[in-house]
Amino acid sequence: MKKIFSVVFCLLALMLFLASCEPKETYAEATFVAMDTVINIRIAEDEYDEAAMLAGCEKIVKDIESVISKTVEGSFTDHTNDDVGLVINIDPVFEEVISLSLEYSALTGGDFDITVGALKELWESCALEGREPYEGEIALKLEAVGYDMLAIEENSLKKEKNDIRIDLGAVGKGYAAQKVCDYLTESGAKGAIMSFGGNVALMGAKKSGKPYVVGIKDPKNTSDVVGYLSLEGGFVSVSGDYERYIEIGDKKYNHIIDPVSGRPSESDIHSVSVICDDGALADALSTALFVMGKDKALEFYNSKTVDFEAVIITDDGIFMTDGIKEKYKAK
Amino acid sequence: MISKKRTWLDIIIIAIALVISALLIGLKFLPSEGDLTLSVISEGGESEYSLSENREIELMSNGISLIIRIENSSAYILSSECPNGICMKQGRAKRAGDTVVCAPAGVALIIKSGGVSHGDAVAG
Ligand SMILES: [Zn+2]
Repeated sequence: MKKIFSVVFCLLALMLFLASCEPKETYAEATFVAMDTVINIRIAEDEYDEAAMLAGCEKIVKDIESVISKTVEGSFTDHTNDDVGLVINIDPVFEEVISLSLEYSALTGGDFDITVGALKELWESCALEGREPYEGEIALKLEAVGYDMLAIEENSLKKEKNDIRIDLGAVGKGYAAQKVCDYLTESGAKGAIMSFGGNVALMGAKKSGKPYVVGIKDPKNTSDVVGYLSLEGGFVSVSGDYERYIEIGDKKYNHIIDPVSGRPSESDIHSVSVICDDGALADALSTALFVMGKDKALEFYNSKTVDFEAVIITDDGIFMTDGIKEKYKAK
Repeated sequence: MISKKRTWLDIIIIAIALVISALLIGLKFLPSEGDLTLSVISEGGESEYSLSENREIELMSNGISLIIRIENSSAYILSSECPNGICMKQGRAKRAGDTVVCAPAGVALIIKSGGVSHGDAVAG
């Protein structure tokens, strides 16, 4: 009898031991609102000053925001959206974001375009009035859309039309995520997991040495995930039809404007996750692929224009690019 | 005879012990559907509220005053003195992971779930 008891206690002890022996991943964390979204940064705890690093991260994000956000008065985006043809003495950060954006626009044939600002504002202001914009209003704003009407020349941004309005919302978060990752790498952080409004950035490694596991939100049930990606680092940027919509009457409209139709994108994609080594590119690509729709997005991938992987969710199921299939596990 | 009785009792005790230990480990590893709470991020930091109790929260952040309403297990921005007021058109946050943001005020409503964990981070 005693024997059985000892066996049971040993089993119990073993189970409890197994339950607690995984190396503990502990993080110092900060959550704040910037760049129009919620930003969460978790830095792996180690023998360094995590609080100072978190403060450093927040400063980087807010500094970038103060330059590129359209809602920050006096930002360069704000200046650009004035009725002017030329913005001089632009900040180097602003110049870099614009240059990258123009590059990504060319890369994606204009499916990513920062000049949709006026259209976005039109849809937002009409939402507040509780109506859709009239066709005439959309047509008028479309005349001021086109990335090829912007150019960087000697510390200046040249606008071909004064009424062009830019919106860096589809690239800014990824750009900031990249800069924060660079900073944490330079600061010697061992690992960090960051979320920029649902765009995930991973740096360093986990204490356990295992890959990071990133869930992909289920567009149909946003409190759940469809599956998991095992990643060693990099960026996962997502554009989804469920996020940040605006409501006009009972109808929900996507926040991603199709630069061709001038209307909220109505592609067959519910969500597209772009996995990429560069934050700004991942961000811009997720918007571009969303606008493209599934078939064109997969075609774009196969054209090998640029290095990335993607997970696309439509009514017909989940579509993955070749390089990510092995790293994906369904829930 | 006595020893046979003891054996049955022991088996029951062992069974109970195993069930308890399985439950303990289950609690540690299995996701459990926790209660939903509302986390409000503002200039002043982060505060948590229960979603089960209807109420209004008045707050001031970045010099902008807002009223947040919790109603029928959902939360939304009822009023905000921010410039465009688009935050009031973002609908209600009710499921885990839902957010409503008022950018000018630096305010975010986030629905958090107590138990469920989906890896190291959730993208989307
Ligand atoms: Zn607001």
